[in-house]
Amino acid sequence: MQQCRKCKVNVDGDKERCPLCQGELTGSPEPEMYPKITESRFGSDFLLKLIAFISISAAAVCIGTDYIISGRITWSLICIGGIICAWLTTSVGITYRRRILKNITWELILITALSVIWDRFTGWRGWSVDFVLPCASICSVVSIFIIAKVLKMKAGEYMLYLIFGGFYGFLPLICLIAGLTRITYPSVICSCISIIFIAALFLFRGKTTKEEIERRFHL
Amino acid sequence: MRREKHISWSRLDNAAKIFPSTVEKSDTRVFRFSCELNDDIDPELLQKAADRAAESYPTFNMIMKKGLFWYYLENCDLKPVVTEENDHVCAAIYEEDARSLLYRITYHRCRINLEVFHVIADGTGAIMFLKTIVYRYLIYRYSELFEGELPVLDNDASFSQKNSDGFSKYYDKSIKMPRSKSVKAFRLKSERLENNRLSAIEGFASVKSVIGAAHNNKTTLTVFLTALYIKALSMEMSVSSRKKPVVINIPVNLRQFFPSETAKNFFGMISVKYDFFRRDGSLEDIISCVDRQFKEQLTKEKLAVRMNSLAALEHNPFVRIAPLPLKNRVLRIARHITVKGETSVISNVGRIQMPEQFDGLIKSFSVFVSTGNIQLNICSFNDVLQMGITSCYASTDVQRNFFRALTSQGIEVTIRSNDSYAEREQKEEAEVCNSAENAK
Repeated sequence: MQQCRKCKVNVDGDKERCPLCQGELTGSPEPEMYPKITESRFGSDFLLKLIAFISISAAAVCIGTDYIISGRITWSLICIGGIICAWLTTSVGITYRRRILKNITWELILITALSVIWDRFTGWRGWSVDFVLPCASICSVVSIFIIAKVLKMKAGEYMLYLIFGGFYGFLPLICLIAGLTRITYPSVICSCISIIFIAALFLFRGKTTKEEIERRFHL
Repeated sequence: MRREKHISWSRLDNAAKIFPSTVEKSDTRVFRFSCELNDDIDPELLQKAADRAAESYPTFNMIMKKGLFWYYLENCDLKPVVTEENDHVCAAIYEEDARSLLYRITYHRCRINLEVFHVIADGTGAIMFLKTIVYRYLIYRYSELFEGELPVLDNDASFSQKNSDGFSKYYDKSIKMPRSKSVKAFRLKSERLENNRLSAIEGFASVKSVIGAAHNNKTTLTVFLTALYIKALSMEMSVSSRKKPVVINIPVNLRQFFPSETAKNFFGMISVKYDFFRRDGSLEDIISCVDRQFKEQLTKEKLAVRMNSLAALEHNPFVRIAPLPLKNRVLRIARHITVKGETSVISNVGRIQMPEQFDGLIKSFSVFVSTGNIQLNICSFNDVLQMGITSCYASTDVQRNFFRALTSQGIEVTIRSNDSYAEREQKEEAEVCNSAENAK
């Protein structure tokens, strides 16, 4: 056992200095009672910072090149729009990288919203509502279902996302009824699939669905 | 068609409701109980013991999920996995959306650690669980000693008793908390440890010698240690901060006052104040002042008032309908305000009892609680008193003052700490390099 003469205490373990006063120790050390912790070199948010850095650098280079070539800012605005979208989607992807279903759900919301914005500011040709919204909805709800089955997830793990995905698939139907859709067949297929999923959920997993909703919304 | 499985779930109990929202930096809301044995731990037997113990504590086999308005706990079929200790003391446990248990069982040499996220249990609940794990482990490990008769552990609560909510059982709408003016307490100001680490320094002393010293000062052990701690804190006060009182909050196990066998949270708080500006600051005066406040506040009526004021929060309709992200913000702000009125916390778990047959096998028990400040944690086992000070600060002045005060009363203290010194590590590396070169 080691001793600190100033504090008049015994010091357990193998210490260089007194843990209390940082003074010299006498006596012989004993095996340490705490493990040595190795900390990872990068903080948990390193990847996010890296993505943000790359995006900012890319944007700066774009504006600079554009200005040098044409003397004003022209095409670089579109580039910046693209960079922002890429930054948002990858950041969300990285943030939820360990929770695949949550990742899919957030990406679905983000990508459909971003494409509607793009469409709106590039002359509203309707491609976002005609194709992106219904196709993304179908893809996400089907992939959530397949992933849940393949990974043998418990009902509590995937239920919320399946319910949300199913209802999200009604958005193309609403657009269809509101007359926003020009090319209708993707929206029609999407609506059918959503109705089938929701029906299956409520008929075969009615109790589980109801309980999940109760839990998530309890006051 | 397969039958649908029912998933049982429960709301967070009243005290737990604030914990998930206020996890911050070094204040992970995790606490650790350790049990040090005489022999090194056998991981396989510990795993077996943990599995058996987990079966009898269903309230621990929970995962936490986010609802729109509140967090909630959901039963799960996960089993605890015993691992070798490889993280900081009271490292964060809850990870959003992760399907993982809210406690961890680790071992290091001859020590078993149980770390618990405060949402599922308080100290009393967790110590019952750790005792069961240790009990099982010792029976497996030293089966030859207990062939004739198995020792009996002192808890026999049923599943539903352990799962009951003490707060809602004793909630009384008619009791109202009188409005009190909040005071700004003295707060330590010091540089924090990097990476939000927690320093854990514990001192072991003989219970008899500390009680002896307490009796010399004509008081009890708890009051004596509280007074010494207040004195230790006061030594770090600057002249200007002396105007602010030292306020120590002390969690009280409500099971002593309101019978309940719950393993969930069931504790209240009392607070002890000492004003160095108006009083003389001698140990005798601090002791008499602390003693008076303990006697005043440790009554069933006073504790009922406190308990109800806590419960009032969750019964407040505005708080209830606020969506979770907003609620988290509000609770975090509320926490920051209450923290301003608190210098430190003393958490006394008291005497931990194990069957007599285990006496030669167990060395000591320890307790550490995460904090965003500094906190004293006390427990005892047989004649070993453990005083663990957790702190997020790099400075160890308060710890030094406290333990030096104990040794100056003639008490022999053994210190153990979780810090490791960089110089030593470098030296080791150099030695390894040298020996590798020599080998060539």
